[in-house]
Amino acid sequence: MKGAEPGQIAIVHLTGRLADGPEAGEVFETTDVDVALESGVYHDHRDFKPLEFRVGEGHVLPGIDEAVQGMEPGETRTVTLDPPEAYGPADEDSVVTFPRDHLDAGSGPVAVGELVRSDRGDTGWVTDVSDTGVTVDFNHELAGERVEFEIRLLEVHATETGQEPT
Amino acid sequence: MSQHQPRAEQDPEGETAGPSSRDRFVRRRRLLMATGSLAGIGVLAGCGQDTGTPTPAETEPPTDSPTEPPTESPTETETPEPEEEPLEARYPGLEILSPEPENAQAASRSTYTDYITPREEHYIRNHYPTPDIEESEWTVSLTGMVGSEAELSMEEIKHSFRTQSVTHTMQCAGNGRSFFDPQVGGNQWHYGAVGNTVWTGTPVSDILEYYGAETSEGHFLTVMGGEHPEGEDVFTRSIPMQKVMDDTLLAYNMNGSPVSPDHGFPVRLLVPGWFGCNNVKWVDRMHVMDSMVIGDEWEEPGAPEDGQRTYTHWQQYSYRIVPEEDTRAEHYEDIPVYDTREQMDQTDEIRNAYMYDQVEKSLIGYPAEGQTVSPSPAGTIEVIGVAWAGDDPVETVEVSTDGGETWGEAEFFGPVGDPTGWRQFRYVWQEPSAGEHTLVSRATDERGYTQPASISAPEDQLRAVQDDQFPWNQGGYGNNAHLVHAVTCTVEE
Repeated sequence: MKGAEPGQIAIVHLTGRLADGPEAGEVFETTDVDVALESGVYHDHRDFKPLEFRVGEGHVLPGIDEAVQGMEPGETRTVTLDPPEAYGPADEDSVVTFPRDHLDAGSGPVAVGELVRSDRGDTGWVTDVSDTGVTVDFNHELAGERVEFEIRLLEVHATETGQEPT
Repeated sequence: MSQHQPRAEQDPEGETAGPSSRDRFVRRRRLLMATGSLAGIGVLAGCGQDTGTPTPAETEPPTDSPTEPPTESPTETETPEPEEEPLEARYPGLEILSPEPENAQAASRSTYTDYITPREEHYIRNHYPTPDIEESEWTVSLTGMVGSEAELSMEEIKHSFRTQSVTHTMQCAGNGRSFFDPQVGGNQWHYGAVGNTVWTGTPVSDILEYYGAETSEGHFLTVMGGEHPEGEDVFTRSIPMQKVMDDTLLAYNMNGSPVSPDHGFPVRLLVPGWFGCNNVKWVDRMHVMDSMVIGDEWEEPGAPEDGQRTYTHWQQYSYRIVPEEDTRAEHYEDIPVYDTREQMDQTDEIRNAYMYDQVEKSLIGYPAEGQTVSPSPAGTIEVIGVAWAGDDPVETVEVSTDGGETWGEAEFFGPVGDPTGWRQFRYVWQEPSAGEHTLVSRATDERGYTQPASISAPEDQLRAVQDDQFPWNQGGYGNNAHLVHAVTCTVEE
């Protein structure tokens, strides 16, 4: 058995945990239904199942893409990713203040801590509400955070049209 | 700027007490998935992050710097048809397994309370991305053992021969794969890769007879799709000539309107009652021959490891029942029977069954998984579902309301169409007690084959249904075990 190489299809189970802060060790994402149930991130709008992706082509977070390369099927590895390798750095340009009436016209009053979505599909959190404006932070929740991923490589296939079941 | 105005989403868990970044991550993902804006998991490049910087309102100083995260997938910006709606918008009834190649299954059991499946709820299984085909430029070639070879235009296919319609329960051979334990690779279909649709097209027998093809028993029509990227294996299936001559169509309409691109536009093979894989989409070529595609003539030297399988992959290597102990499926030029259950019972002659005619199966549509239901004023609950058995009629369906301990017979209702389409069944559950219940259904076909209870362990090395167990197999095909398809519901007082 050799390790996963760029261009191959990797099938993995993943569990992401926060690396820093008071919540260090808390699961925020997993493909494993048991972990999801245990850690309270389960919900029924989603199927928990292994993730399948082509290695080395930027389909997943860079740190995961990199870590899988060199792993062998059956192997489990835990990696800690800095923000650029994970969800990116926090960007102050993604904190935007809208005139209050723009927002209220669409959906009624909003309050700090609410999740809002712009019409182009971006979601963000209301961080400040004043008489005139509403400030929304469109940064990814985990932008600027260090995260830890436990990666279990289940299988590697030569190509998508190889011997994998269809 | 109005298109960039944010508005509050209905966040069912919208507490305002300063949630942590982890809570906020989980909450946002729940919301987006509940509203169908997001599928899959939060580590996909470009998925965990929003699509771009929202434009601030006019009164704000302009911000030009993009916040495209370093994780943005390069392929996202190369989408060829930006005007096309995303898959989840085109198929609101489907849960997306992979956006490219397009793979999606029914998102709810409730689709199995109806006779006809709308195309928006009909599963999609692609090996390569859906091709963009201009009907007027598309042709289907006919080659091999024929009097004269032909290049058929869609115009000729539609208007020069008879037209027939058939109701067909289309099911992916891998439907139910997610229930295999240990898990097997591939798309994790649960129950949802099956739908019942009326297909309209031209009988292939008409075309073969017109062009003087060899149509006697022992011959095959090998059908190839046209969607593979250059240099990739060609999606190819060899269909036994008896079945081709009996009822196989070149289908161009689905539920009365043109087949959608994801389901095979402009034309697909329609093999009534047989597993989805036989129903080759985007048909490009039909080749009459005296065996299945096999061996050197149809694959590169050195295949499977050191050469490409070109035409043999999906006929000989894939879509086979391969137990754990086999390195790969044994290849045959022809086999004595084509029904998948019968093949599995003749393992002295067919080591690894081919996924041809479907096995008997049933699915409960109401109550749906996890649903809370109330008894009628009469104190009963009506359990509703569908049952099918490929091109064989279903004889009976039984329902258990106690997880398979005891069974009662259901009755059929609804349209009685071709046996290749499913039958609807109902079972009146008398005096259900309050609380959680596990409902199971099992079908028996006209030949007496009944759905087994569970899936075997790999080490049992089964090749056929035995001791009420469906054979665990490496590809995760053909699962019709009834217990894993059970529904858990809660009855209210």
